[in-house]
Amino acid sequence: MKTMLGMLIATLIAGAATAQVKGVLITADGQKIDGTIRWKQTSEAYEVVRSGGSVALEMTPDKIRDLIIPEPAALKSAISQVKSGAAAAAIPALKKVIQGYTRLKWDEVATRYLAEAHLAARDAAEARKVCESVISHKPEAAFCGEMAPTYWSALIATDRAAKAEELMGRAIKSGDRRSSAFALIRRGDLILKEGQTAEAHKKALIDGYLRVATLYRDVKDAQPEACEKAAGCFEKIGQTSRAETFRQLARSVK
Amino acid sequence: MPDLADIVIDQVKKKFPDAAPKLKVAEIQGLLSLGKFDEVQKIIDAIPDKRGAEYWAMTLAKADTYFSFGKHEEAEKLYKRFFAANARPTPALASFYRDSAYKYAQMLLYIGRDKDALEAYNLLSAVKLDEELARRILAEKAELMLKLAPLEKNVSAKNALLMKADKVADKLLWKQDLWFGKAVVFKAHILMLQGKSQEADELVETYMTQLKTIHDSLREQDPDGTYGMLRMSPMPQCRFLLGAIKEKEAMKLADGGEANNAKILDLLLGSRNPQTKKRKGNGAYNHFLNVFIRYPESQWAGECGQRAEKLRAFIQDRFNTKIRQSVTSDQMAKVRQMQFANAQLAFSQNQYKEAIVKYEEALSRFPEVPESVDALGNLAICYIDESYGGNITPEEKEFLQLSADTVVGHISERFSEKPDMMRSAGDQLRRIGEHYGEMKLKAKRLETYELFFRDYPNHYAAAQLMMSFAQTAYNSENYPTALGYYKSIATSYTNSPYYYDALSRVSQCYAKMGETTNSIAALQTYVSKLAAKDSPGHMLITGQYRLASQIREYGVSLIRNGETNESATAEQKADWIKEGSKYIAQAAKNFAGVSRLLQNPDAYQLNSAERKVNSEIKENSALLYALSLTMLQSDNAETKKKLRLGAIKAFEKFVAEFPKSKSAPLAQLRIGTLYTINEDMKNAQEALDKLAKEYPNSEQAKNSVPMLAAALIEMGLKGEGVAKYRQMLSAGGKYTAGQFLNAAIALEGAREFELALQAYDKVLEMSKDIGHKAICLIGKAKCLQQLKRSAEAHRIVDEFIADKNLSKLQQFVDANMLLVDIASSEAKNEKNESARISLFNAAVDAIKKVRAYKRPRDIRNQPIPQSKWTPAQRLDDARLRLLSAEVVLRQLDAERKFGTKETVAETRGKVLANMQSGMLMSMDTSDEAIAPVIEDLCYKCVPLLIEHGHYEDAIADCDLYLKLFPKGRWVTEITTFRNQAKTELDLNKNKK
Repeated sequence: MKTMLGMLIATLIAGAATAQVKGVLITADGQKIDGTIRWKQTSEAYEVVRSGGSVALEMTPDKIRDLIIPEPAALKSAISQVKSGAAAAAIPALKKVIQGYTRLKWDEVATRYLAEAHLAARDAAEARKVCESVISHKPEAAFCGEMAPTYWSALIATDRAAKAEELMGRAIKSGDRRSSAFALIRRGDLILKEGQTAEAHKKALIDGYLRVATLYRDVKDAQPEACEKAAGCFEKIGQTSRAETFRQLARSVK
Repeated sequence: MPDLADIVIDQVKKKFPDAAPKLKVAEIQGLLSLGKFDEVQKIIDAIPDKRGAEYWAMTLAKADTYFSFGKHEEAEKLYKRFFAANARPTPALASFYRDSAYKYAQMLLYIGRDKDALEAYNLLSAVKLDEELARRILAEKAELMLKLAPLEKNVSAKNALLMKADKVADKLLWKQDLWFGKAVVFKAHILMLQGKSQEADELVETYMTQLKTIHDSLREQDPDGTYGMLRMSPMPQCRFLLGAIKEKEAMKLADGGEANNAKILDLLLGSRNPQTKKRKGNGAYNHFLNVFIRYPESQWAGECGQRAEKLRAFIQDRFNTKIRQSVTSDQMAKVRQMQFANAQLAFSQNQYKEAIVKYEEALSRFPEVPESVDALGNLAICYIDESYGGNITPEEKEFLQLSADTVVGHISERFSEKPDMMRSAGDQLRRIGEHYGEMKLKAKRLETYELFFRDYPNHYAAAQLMMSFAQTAYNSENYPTALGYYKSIATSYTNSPYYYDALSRVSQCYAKMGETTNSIAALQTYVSKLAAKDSPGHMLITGQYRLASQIREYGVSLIRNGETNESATAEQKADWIKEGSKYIAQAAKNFAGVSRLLQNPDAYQLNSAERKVNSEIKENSALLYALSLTMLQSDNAETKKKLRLGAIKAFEKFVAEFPKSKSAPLAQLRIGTLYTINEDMKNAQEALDKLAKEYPNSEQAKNSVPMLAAALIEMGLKGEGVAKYRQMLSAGGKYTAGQFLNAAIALEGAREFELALQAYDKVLEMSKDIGHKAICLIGKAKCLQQLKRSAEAHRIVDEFIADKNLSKLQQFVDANMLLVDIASSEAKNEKNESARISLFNAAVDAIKKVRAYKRPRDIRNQPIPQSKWTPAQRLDDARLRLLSAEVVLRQLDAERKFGTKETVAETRGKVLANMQSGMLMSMDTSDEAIAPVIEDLCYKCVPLLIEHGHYEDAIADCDLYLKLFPKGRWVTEITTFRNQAKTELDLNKNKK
């Protein structure tokens, strides 16, 4: 059996051309390597230098089980800015995180919020573009993971509803719980966009909002929107008291 | 007859006078559930004693209904009035007051008015409570205070509330029961809220022995936790509480940067022992893990598992370290099992309301584990059964049904791509579908199975089920739907045992729908797939034979159309005949192919039954091969002659090979006929002599002239055939009335209507038989109608219907149906409005008579109620109703031609009233038996609705169609109509 080290290609550090961050790399056979890590686009591999060492080990993604990278300090405040409506101010910091943490876990989170910032600035095309830069190397990010719902919004806003629907369909069936919940909410929105009949409101409840409110309670951040929209549908089908219950629920989970 | 409920209520009142208030409430419950508050108030006002228990019981029952209808203010007013009027309740009202005060507090909690609820609990001090209830109320109050305290902004008010809660908790510490444990939890919680987490820890440690005793005692009474008692244990709650508070504190510190890291680790993993330097293991993570593993039955276990997992990830991210995973898969399975056990218990006891709450709670913790699938199936059943249970408002019913559909949709989609859960999820969908079936909710059953077929095509039972659905639809004559299923099997289940059968059925469905070329193409696919098999067996023979027969029938129909269709141009007719001839030639080839295969029959038969069928097919193929050759057309006389000689040879071969066949005389007659046409009179005579000699008792020998005529017509030599009949009619008395009747029918079929009329008249002259008379009159009317002598035809039919004797015969139906045709076609061209309307009315009346005549009756000739009609009877009646609507549709066409814009709109409204309100909305659209009619109806109704400007109704009908017939015949058209209606609707909205 080959040793782990045998599988690695050792190279001498030739100067840090791309960003590198501190973290722990866990290899496929469970070995922990504590040090500085960076992604090398040219060789499509990670380069890790043990703490205190000078030899860089290069390793392709299939040889890695996990990466433990501390959250960049700038990201949290940038996210808060996006959430509080000051999205434009967060853009430079988010771009910096994406650049500094390429393929180092936090770039995907930062991309989500960067895309949200672009959407808030009504630049859906740019939002789509940044999402697709992640999707190009991680195709499942289009229907799985925290960036996916933002990507669908960008697609719908740029008249690519059919593609968004297809991805949402995949997310509902096989995406993670959060993506699935948001896909259901968006599906409810699309049903109502088609028509405002009582039947459409019932369908939006069954195939969208009510499903999230009842069966995706574990996805906390989807609850306020799902409950609020469910309340709207109940209102439209004449169930005012039920609508009120769901509105209260929406308020209580916010 | 007296109402049984009233009698029972009277007797109970006499026996148990204390129950009177409750019985009074039972009397008004029906009115309340319908929201008839004014009527209820009148009953309440009529009660003389406005202070008595009955008066208040009814008033508060009204308040409760207000509450359930969302009218909280009205409900509260009535409760407040009650408490104000009964500040010191009399002994007679004591227990009622107690229950009402408690219920009032719960209502306020439900609508989130926690502070008011706390006040409401105080109302209970007006009555004496038994010890158990008093302790429970104290615990609930303390819990509520602890909930309110952190929300209190005023510090002194907050502290006062905590002090109050502490006092209440102290009262509970006097007895070591379940509430004792709760009190420890409360006190620890109070300390934590006061920032004394160390003291809280110590307090729990101090009482640990007592908590353990309580826990053990509960475990003794409910060892596996299925009765829900273990869930009440205070031990896990204590640990959860400590964990939650430490976690909160740690997270607060985490925002403050790395300086707090040591403190955070102490809070999450426990502080270090100064001597051993080892962590104490009393951090948030340890508490959560402890509850998760050691108290799987507790209501906090699920959440603790999640929180422990979240903290593990947090520690890993923040401290670049991994905590050893110490939860085994067995432990995890145990926790899951316990979390669902309580819900399962409620479900098995049919306590669906309770089960719903418990399943939803467990599912929020474990949404996608193997146990979730069965739980979701049970949850759907709970919603379904609750929604069809009694005593619920229409709003509640609708909500429960929406919830059931929501769960069903979730099972269908979410688990369909999870390999380890797909099988059981598919089974749950089937279970729900069958549950609907048992409840006679056919449409819901079908809807559920449609989801199953959509999302579980690879399920082990999918092909078999789809086949069974296809068969049911086929037997109900719902061919488009059956076709959809069969096609799906033929496309998606090529390895299933149903594959070949489905391919064959595709062809049969097309044939039933009148799509012959599609049917032939499908049959060709079926035969070619069979031929590609290593051992196709008997199926290949029957398939080939069916294919040859179908091709021949189609060819014959094209040639007949070319010969008899008077509305077609000469060019069209020639094309049809040419095309038909091609098909006949192909059929001859195919029949020859079947005969060739059967030269080695053992390869295609395994038993005597197959042997027998093969032998019949061999005989029929030889005969049909010869008959096909007689129909081949050519413009060249010499070629024609040669073709006939080829056919003669084939018939001679048939007679030689199958001399005992019942078709041998027919073949012999054909030989004579063909020689006659070829003007070879010598051989013709020899052939007819042989017929008379070898088959003297055959119909052909006895009726050689009319049969020769019929054979000539069938071979496409209409002129020669008609000439033979003419010869027969002029010969007169040589033939019987029956032979003339046959001639008349054959002539009518050959569209020789004038001659057919003569033949019918001949029969009427010769026969006194009423059956003959009926057939002849109907036949005459049909011929006259074809000759455009509608008035004469109309007269004959009117006389038939008016005749007492004739109207008792089965042909009464034919006469009326003919009248529908005659009257509506006369009306179509009638310019005079009132004459036109009266003709259409005559047509509609005729249908009414047929409906009345055909109405199912029992052996005493009493009408059978509709609910007991067979599917065939329901379909027959629905078809007549549709026909009636179609007559009005024809009236609309006439109005378009002769009427004004207003009369067109008026008639269109009439058609819509007939189709939409009269039929579509009053028929049971879930009845599979009448599905073909519903399908036609939707298709005909929608364009009219659009034309009439009723776009929303049109969309609703389209949706109904697409829901009922997802594989229907007009899915494309209906989708287009829907889009059109939607566009019009949007345009109209924009205009407004």
